Amino acid sequence: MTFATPKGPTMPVAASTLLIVISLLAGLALNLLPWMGTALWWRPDFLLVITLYWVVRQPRSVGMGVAWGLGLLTDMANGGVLGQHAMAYTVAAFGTLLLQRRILNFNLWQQALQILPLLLVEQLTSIVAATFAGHAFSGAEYFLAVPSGMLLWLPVSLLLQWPRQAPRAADAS
Amino acid sequence: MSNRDDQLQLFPRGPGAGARLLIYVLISIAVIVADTRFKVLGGVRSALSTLLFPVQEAVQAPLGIYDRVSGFFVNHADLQRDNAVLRQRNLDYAGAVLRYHDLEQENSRLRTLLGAHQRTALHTRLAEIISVPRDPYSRKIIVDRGSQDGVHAGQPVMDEIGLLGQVTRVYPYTSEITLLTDAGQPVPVQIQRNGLRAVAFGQGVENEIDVRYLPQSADIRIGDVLVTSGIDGIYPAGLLVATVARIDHSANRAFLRVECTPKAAINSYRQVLIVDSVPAGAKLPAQHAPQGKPK
Repeated sequence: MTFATPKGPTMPVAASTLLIVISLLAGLALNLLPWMGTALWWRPDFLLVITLYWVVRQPRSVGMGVAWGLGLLTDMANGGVLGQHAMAYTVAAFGTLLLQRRILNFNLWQQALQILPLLLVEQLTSIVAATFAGHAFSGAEYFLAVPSGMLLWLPVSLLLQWPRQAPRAADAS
Repeated sequence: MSNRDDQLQLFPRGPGAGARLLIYVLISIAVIVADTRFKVLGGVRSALSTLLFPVQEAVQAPLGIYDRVSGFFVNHADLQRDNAVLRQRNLDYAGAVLRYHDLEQENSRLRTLLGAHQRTALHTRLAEIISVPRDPYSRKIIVDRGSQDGVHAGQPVMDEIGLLGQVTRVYPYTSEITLLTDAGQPVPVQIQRNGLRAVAFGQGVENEIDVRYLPQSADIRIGDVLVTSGIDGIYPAGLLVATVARIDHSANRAFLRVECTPKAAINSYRQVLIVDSVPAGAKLPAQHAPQGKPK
């Protein structure tokens, strides 16, 4: 394993930037699938959950700025008010930054429980923004994405942790 | 573990988290105001949509492959049965179409005698739905035809059963369709049974549109079929819109409350038809040409 150490500290960082971009693109793509009917309401916000995962794991790479930009893309995809989800994503990222060090101490289920209020905050912010922009809220089904997003935290964490296990183990040895 | 410790910021650079949040929220508010009040972000929208388009296309690719693969492995017996059913239906329709052509000619002759405007045939183009925004405020869909394909804002959109909505925003490769059920989306309608004209409005609720401003004495019954009246110049006349589902005759209101169920399968389609609206002036010479000599 010694042959891997000269490039040691820089390699995982470079690899995970690519991983971050790919995972965020995948989240966006999953959001853009043509979901219909009930599935549409139960659909978790993939992009938001993956963004929050990276805010927890790598707050230096993915912070409020990235969250804002991704929120703007979501607004575009929704065809709604531009800036609505941008604001909501930023607020959620801020909340995550506040809780970031605490969240890392828990196991996955407990982390998911901590993510739940953050997802709720995102939805409430986006509703408040849209209400000020002059839309009338209708439909409590909108909040179904909060519990499903919480459940999504588990597979997202497991999946995104997996490719980074190897270099870290190599580091330690 | 050492990796994670690196990320703990001992000496944070730049403004603090709270200040950055404030800045981003202020920018967001500025963007929202610029978008909703001043409507100056059209360029930004179409730039962002061009950015999103490759992702949307990439998402469509596996679905298309799935359709093709599952289409390939069809049971032989199923195919034969489908074929027989379709043949039978084709025969049934052939008779109906003959009669329809006859009636159409007769109708056009009568209309010429009356001096009324000719009805034009509908030209439609097929578009595929590529995403459905998840938004409690709007009932919209995004389809894969844009200004590059000649789509423009305002065109009516239907499926094979009835009217779906209207194109509201056009990007280079995609366009946004507002459904009839979107809150406040009006459609001028006519009751097929007696020709009574009215206006139906979307409620922002799934599978419901309401007819407003009908007096208590209006002749409307449960089960009546509403079609577009065509007097707005946007929707062509005679497209199916909805059936009346419930009528509330409470006397404490000035108008009737009429709830209708849209005809088009608003939640279960993949493909839609965008109707090419022909400018009113352009169709007259084409109509006259067969009667007189072409100029």
